[in-house]
Amino acid sequence: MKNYYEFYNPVQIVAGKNVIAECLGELLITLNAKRILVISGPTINKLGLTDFVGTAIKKNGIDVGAYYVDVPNESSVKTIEEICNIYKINNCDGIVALGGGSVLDTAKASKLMLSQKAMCLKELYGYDMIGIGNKIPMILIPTTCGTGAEVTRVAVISDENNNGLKEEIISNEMLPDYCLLDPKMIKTLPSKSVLLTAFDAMSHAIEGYCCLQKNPISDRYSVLAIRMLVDNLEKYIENPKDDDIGLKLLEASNYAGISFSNSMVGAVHAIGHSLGVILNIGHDLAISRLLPYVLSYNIEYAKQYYEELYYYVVDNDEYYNTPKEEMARAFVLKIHDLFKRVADKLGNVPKLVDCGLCQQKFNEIITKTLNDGAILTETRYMQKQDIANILNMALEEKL
Amino acid sequence: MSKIFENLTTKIVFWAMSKGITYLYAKDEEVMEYFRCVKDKTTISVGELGFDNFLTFEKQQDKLYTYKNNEKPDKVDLEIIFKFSSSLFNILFGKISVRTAYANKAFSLRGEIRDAMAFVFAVEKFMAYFMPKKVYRNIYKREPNMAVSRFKMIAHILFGRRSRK
Repeated sequence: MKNYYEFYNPVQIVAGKNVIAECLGELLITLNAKRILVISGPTINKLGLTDFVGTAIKKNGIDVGAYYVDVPNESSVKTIEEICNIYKINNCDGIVALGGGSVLDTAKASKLMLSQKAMCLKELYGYDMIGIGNKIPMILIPTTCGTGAEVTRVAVISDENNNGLKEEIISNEMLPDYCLLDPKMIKTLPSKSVLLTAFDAMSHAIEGYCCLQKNPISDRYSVLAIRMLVDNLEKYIENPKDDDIGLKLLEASNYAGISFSNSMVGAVHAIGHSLGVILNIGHDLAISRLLPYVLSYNIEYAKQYYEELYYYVVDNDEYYNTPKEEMARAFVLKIHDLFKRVADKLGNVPKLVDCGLCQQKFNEIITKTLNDGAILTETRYMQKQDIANILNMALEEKL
Repeated sequence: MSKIFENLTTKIVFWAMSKGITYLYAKDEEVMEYFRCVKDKTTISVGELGFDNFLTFEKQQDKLYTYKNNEKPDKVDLEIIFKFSSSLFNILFGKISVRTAYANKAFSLRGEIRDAMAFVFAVEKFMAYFMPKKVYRNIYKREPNMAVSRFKMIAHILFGRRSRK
């Protein structure tokens, strides 16, 4: 059993400058979709990106049956049920969604609900329990460079019928047919969001490489993503008009998504999910701020992995001039320094203490963390005290 | 492994678990805490793909009950199905930890995933009573922190009453 692994990624990736304008309509024709439901969020809609995608769809004579542009920051059951109704009322036969993690997760869960003909979303909660359903053509377009949701078989949905608790659906049946990576989509993303979402992708790649479910194929995606993020993040923040670099960041986020969709994540995400709910902060901020401290805390347990990853965050000279016993620590410092350098330059990235993290909230955070599935795939056996130690490190900013 | 042997072993394991885990819930604060996040009247069923054996728990207020062997309510809140019998046996014989089995996608879940965490942690604690400390430390990377003695646990499984629904 120890040598057993699974890897699955059937999503066709179409990446390049201007791929939405040039390819979207044709791809929908190949999927035999004639009347499309377009899903996005209010911010994306205000920026005119929804209209841009709508025009690209119509260019090839395909109808847009309806637009749903009100997906909130947290995907919710109510939103998904509304979307399914709109899909049915307007006789749509395909979905195109553009946005960040929340929009893409909403689209994936809606597709699953429609294809399984489920009466309510609750029927679909769980892990690998869903059989093959009806075909619903779907294309996903990410507008951030972090979540990788366009290629992951996970959707996190907030259930308002259950005190807003976040429910997970993990199923291959949710995956889209195509994902389109077009740098035009992240051009309007503020620098702060570029940094935070890119570090979310960084944590997907690093955790995917280090956690229990790691496998040789997802490892390759992880190292590729890490190298691309390290090489291109600062360049893009300095020059956000450069589409070539923007595309590299989108690709890195996509590869990190493929990696963690197959190898899962670990303690950074388990604690990050809890922090997000309790401190009411964005997922990307919680993850970016936690990442270096969890890496540092796990150094003994993941030493070999960090040594291997060090090769991908420095140039050859630096790698060969670093003694082997210092590589793991040097890797953690590199990741920490990269984030700190860019965050200091931008100046508007809040620290966890500014968001309300204090010792009085530790117990609540720890309880929630121990109930998060991601804690099971962490390379280190995390107990209460371990989580408290990490939170203390993050609070005091001590690596 | 013959089907008959597999079937029989699974039955014995589920019988032992039904008594052992409910006993642990009553005696071990840590296990009780794992289940604190699980809502009242939640039913959790564990089974094996291709076999009719299953074991069902129900949390009610401060107690954890089990249903009779192979009996379950019409609607189960969380269903845990082992996809490969080999993984169930590997856990039992101390070859892999429960979380490695999860990582290997050895079981599927229907229901709220966070409720499964309580069950997984409880099984991990339960396994400590059946393995030498060294093996447990090696597999689970932690000290076997036992709230009752091995003798009491085994005596309860063999002769004790189970808190039956």
